[in-house]
Amino acid sequence: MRSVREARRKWGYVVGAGLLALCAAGWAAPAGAQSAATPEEYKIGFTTPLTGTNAPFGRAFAETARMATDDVNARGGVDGVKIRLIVEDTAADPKQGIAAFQKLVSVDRVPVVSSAWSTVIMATAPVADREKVLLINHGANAPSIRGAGKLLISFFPLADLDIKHLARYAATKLGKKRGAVMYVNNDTGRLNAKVFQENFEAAGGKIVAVESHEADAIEFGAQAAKMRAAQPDIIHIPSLVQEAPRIVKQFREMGIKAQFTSYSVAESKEMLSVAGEAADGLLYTSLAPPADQPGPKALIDRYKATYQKDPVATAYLMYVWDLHNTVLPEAIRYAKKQGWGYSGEAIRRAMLTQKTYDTKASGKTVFEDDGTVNKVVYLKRVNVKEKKFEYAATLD
Amino acid sequence: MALLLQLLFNGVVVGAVYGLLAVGFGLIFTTTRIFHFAHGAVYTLAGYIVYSLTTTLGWPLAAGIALAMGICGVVSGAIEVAIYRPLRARGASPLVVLIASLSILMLAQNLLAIFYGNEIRSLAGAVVFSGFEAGPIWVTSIQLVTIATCGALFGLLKLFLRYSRYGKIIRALANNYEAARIIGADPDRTFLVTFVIGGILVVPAAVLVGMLTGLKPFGGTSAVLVAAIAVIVGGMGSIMGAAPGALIIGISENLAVWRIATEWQTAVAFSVLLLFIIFKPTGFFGQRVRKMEV
Repeated sequence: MRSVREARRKWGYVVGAGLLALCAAGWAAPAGAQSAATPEEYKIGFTTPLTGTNAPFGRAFAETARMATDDVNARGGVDGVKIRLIVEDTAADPKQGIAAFQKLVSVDRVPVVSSAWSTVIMATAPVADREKVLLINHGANAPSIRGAGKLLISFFPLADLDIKHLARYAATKLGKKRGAVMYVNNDTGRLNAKVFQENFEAAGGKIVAVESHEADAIEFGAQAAKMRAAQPDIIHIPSLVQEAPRIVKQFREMGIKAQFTSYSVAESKEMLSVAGEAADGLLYTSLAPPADQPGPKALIDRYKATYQKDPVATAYLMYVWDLHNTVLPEAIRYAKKQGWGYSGEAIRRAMLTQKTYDTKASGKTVFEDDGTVNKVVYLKRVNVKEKKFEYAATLD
Repeated sequence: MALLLQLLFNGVVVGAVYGLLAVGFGLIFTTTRIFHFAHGAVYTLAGYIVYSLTTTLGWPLAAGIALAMGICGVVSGAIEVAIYRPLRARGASPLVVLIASLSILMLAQNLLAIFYGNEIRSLAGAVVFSGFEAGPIWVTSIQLVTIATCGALFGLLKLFLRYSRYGKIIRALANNYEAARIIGADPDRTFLVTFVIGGILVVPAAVLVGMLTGLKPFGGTSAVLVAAIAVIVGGMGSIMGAAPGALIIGISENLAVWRIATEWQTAVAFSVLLLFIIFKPTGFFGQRVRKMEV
């Protein structure tokens, strides 16, 4: 009886050690090094908020990436090899963002992850470096993203590009002298506000009030009262998609008549349906061409046809589409042609070597050596009467 | 000075809305001694019922509010009958009841988030409320409606408690539970009435918040916390004490940002609570509490 038990125990040790060895072998191989040869399919991770307040936008991003990937695969993939998009939820939360990223790297073994939301990108970038996985930002614009990771590409332009232009335009072309900022208290908001203040004052304006709010806030009465007392003639609102329209509305209700400005977040259905006439004339920067131009129009029509609904935050969707439909497939093809294989480092190298991409929806893309992009900045206006976002000027 | 007056006025408006929620919470707590966190669930539900009826189905606002009051009264009463009453019958400790109440709050909010999504919903749609200058301050139409509604409801509640049969029984039970029972008060029936009234009172609060700012599926947690703070500041044991307690919190939150950054506004309510707990634990109108069992 005893010998049977001992034999079982011995076999248990052997099987256990074997399993451990297998697991260790699996863990030891870095994700980025797994595919020097052409893989059966090119796996691309996609992290986005599918739950939480930002879920409506995160879902639209995922749907657009899925549509772009399906389109590439329908064209035969990359030289006959299909792309597989694997989507995970971040809830726009850094901690959950890291968990989603690690799942994609450890379980799905993807060498490239496409993601957004500044706090998520900033938290994930060091992990991506450690795992040798390329992290591509398709929608966050905090300037601190620049240099946050060695294996980080920011396909979405950072705020210091468009907000710098906007602040100078406000002080010089619009002739505004008393500026104010109402920002969301996160990395994106703080940095966006800082860039506006510095450039508005450098262009001869004076900042008379700076207020902030927490993400998910819905009541802005105290800030409105302080803004009204400061009497600015322009208020820049680097907030979030859900909050910005409510700020605009509550500020107007408080009798504030200043010109409002913002950035891409202003181009949302909520700006029309929540802020209503309060948003009329709001100027905002957009890093995507007006929606009636052929590239954006084709994307919007396709989205509507595919999902039977109107897209939200279309400026962002243009970047998601271009990244997954043009840039990534071309970079993968180029890396393969050069014999670099399919790894995070290879794809980053391909993007920075190819440098220029003819991206149809968001306009021509030029990568800088630091992994960021240079794009044309458009100034758009909210036209509530005609329920549209119209072109106002090109800033350079 | 104009800013100070504006913040004071804004504080009164915010405090009035807090008050509607707090008075219902306080009424239930003072009468039943239940820290009814599920009040936040009924409050959140109220906003979404009115939203569905008016925005989705296109009902007139008054009809939406009336039906929501009926539903919320029933739901609030059902929580008492189905959850609290059986727990009381089994001699459950106040801590168990508190946890049950918290569970209802979390469950309801998550169900609402699943059903309606996490987006902020507005009861006012794209309507921008007009305003006018009244001396140094700016007053909007919805702010006036808020103050008038809250004032009227506080008055009605006060009259109900003073003159109606159930109002008198509620006050008797709140004042001295054992003595009230001896003279024939039926606690189960009175508690049920109290919960129904509390449920009805959350509807105007939810509608005003839905119009002033917006509805969030998880908005009930912070709302019921403020209500609880208002009850403590107003004085535990005083049914209507929650109203001035809520007013103090609303005004403090707004006046504080006169000199400090607005991002610290939320901390102000808790600072007020802490100050009251340390220096005036009975609140403004409360009775001296010798021992509080949780």
